[in-house]
Amino acid sequence: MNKKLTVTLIALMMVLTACSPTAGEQGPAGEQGPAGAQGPAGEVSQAAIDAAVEAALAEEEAEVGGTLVIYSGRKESLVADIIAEFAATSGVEVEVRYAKSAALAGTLELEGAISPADVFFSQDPVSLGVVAKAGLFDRLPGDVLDNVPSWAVDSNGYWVGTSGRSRSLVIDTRDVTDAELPGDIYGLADEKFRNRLGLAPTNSSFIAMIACMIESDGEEKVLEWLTAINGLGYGEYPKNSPQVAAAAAGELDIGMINHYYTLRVVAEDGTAPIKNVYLDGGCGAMVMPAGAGILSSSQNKPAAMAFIEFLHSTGVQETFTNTVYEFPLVEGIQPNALLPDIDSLNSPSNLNWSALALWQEKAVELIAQAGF
Amino acid sequence: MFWRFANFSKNLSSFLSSWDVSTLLINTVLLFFAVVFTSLLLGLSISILTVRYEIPGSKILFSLTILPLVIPSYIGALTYVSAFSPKGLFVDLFSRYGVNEIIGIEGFVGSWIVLTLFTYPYVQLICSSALRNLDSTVEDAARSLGVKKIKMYTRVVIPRLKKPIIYSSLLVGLYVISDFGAVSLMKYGTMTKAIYSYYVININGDPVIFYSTVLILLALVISFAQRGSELSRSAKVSGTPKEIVKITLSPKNKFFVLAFFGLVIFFSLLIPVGVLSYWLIRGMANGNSVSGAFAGVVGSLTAATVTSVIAMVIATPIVVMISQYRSKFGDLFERVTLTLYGLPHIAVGISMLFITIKIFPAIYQTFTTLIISYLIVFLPQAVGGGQASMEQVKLSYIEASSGLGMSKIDTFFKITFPLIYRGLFAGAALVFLSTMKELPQTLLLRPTGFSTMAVDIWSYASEALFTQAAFSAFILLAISALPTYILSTRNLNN
Repeated sequence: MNKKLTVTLIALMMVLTACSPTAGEQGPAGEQGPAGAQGPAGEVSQAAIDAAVEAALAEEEAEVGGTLVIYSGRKESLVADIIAEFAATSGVEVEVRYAKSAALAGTLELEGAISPADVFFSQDPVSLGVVAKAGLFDRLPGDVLDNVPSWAVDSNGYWVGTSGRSRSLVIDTRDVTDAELPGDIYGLADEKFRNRLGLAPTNSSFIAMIACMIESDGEEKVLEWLTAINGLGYGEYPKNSPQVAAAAAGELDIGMINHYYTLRVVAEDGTAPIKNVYLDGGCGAMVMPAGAGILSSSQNKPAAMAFIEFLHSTGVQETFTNTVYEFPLVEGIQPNALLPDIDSLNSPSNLNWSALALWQEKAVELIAQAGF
Repeated sequence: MFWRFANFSKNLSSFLSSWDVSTLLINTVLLFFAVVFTSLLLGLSISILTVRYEIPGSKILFSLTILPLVIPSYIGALTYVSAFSPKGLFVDLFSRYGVNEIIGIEGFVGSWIVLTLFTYPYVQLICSSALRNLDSTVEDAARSLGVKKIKMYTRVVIPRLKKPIIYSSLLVGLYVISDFGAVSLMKYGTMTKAIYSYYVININGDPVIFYSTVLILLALVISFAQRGSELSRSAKVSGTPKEIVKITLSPKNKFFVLAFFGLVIFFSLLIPVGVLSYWLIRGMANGNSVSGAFAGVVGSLTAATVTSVIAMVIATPIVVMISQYRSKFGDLFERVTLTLYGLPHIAVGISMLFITIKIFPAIYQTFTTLIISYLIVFLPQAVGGGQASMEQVKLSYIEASSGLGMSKIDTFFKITFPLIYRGLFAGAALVFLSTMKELPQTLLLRPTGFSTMAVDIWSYASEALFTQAAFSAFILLAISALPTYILSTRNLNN
């Protein structure tokens, strides 16, 4: 009988699922917005919110504790030590769920108000934008947003950058010369690069780059480019790091990656025959923040805020630049010597991360449509 | 899932044109047939050779060839990619002999090889046990009539093994279509891989729902096709298997047979274990620490033990009912069980995720949910194990017992259970093994902070932390080897 019961139950669950509303139907984003907002979120002045949040924080600052659930799109090997240090110094008990940033953003969207997460720590701004767009983040106070340059924060203040990363090309210096490389990403769709390119079509930074290209150049041009790259023959990789390994091993000439993977290998083995090439402009030269936001549904906002502030502390910023080879975002932190001057990179100016989030799904569709 | 499918089917036509559904479907089906064919070939050959022929060390050979069962296909694939990529370990090893580069194995061929090597033991496990129960007198008669060997197997033996062959093909085939680890590593596009790539980007998106639905339909078609073909039951398992007289081989043939076993063991066991050892030794030599495996070990053991015990408890009444009420009722049970087994894990995981978030948020991301979803897909293995042994319980025993005035409960504990508990344990052992290897559902549904060895291996490997991955993989193999050994010896003694 047990079995029949189980089966019936499952059938019942399926029917019930069918009847319940999905996350998106739960109401306009504003309803889940910050507690202080009376009308549509946009009408409340940032100063008023700051004041309210700061007042709330000041009250509870002494009592940071309890349990903090972090959804981390940043890899365990990169941030586990940092999180452990936060737990040790703050006395907060921390639970971390690691997965890809985009997958976590999708999960948060699905969970909506019942999400157990307090903080979403993402490796790319587009995933943060997806959660912000769904109205699931609280606004952050102005002083936290002011810790980092304005290009690395959400325009509505829903999340803040914690470190920076640039798109780049990793090249095998034995087989590729600087001279044959194009100035922008579109130049890679050239016969001379036949069977020499590598990319990771499901990597969230690659998708963010495609979203940026759609935003600045339009769907048609992007699809044309993707189709051309596919036609040239390419190495498909599950993510960035194997491209760097393949380039070092001589299997791949040019890989489309984020800059720090190459630097990590070079830092370990100075003789590795690879290097980063930063394109002169366009989305192929995009500099993106990794960042974090606090979920409106969080049961422990003081600890969540303390964690974000901790990520901006000098020690953590130095860890980001010296062990992960990312750009520190807080002023006064010396970038690692392997990094190029961030001001020399020609990232598209005034990128609107929320707009890119809107293009994410289209980007995935175009990538599939081009046959990847 | 179906409702969600219906919900977006209005965009279906535009969807079909933009996503390459037919290619993925063809790729999946192609891999299905290829792997089922070669797995059957390997598994049947091993079964026939160990059961019917006099081979030195056949017990050890049998156990060694069944052991790859414990290697999850994604670990197998990982070691193969590492060993046979164009400039992989193989090239390193032979570089002094002038080997600089080889054609790496990947794509269809890579997936085919790897999935065959780690799924043929299912065929071996099921078919050898059936073969052992199969009266060999018919074969002896055929042989004495001068029927040639190959012809004898295709005409006499295999037709009588139809049921176990179909059942094990199903097991292998469903494994193939729901596998995502091996095909992702081999960069071969199948439905399951597509679900995973899209899930990673947008779990709530149309592609995930669409591909899951197609995959579930495919699994259902396969399960029902199996039901259909089974109706012509031709395999009669004789009631009292006679002592099997093993055939002696000529020294030359003995050599070929041993060489065959050597090759199988080399590729399915020594290569993966060798590569894992290499990673571990190289990593330790470079001073990498192997800490943090403990939580995964505890997680895996807890999950696997709880799942297998519950599966056994639930399976017992089902087994009794299926066999004693050989009616529409029993048939329905059997059909439901098989259909559940056919559900691809990733699709079940995604459905459970939706269901718990939307209807039972109280158990979202809890151990309970994880165990329920394991049970949904693995319960059939427990039932299958019990069912096999239930065939020994003759209806006449039960009738005699009730004729002698025993109550139904007494009959169960005094007559039925003693006869079927071994089968149930075997089924539970299989559930234990499967739970230890399970990956997609665990990734989706586990409580935050809960980890299993399978999850650890996957995440270490995806961050290229091979020392750690190898360490966890070794523990996983060591722990899994025990239930596998019990399964294989039970098979030999039976």
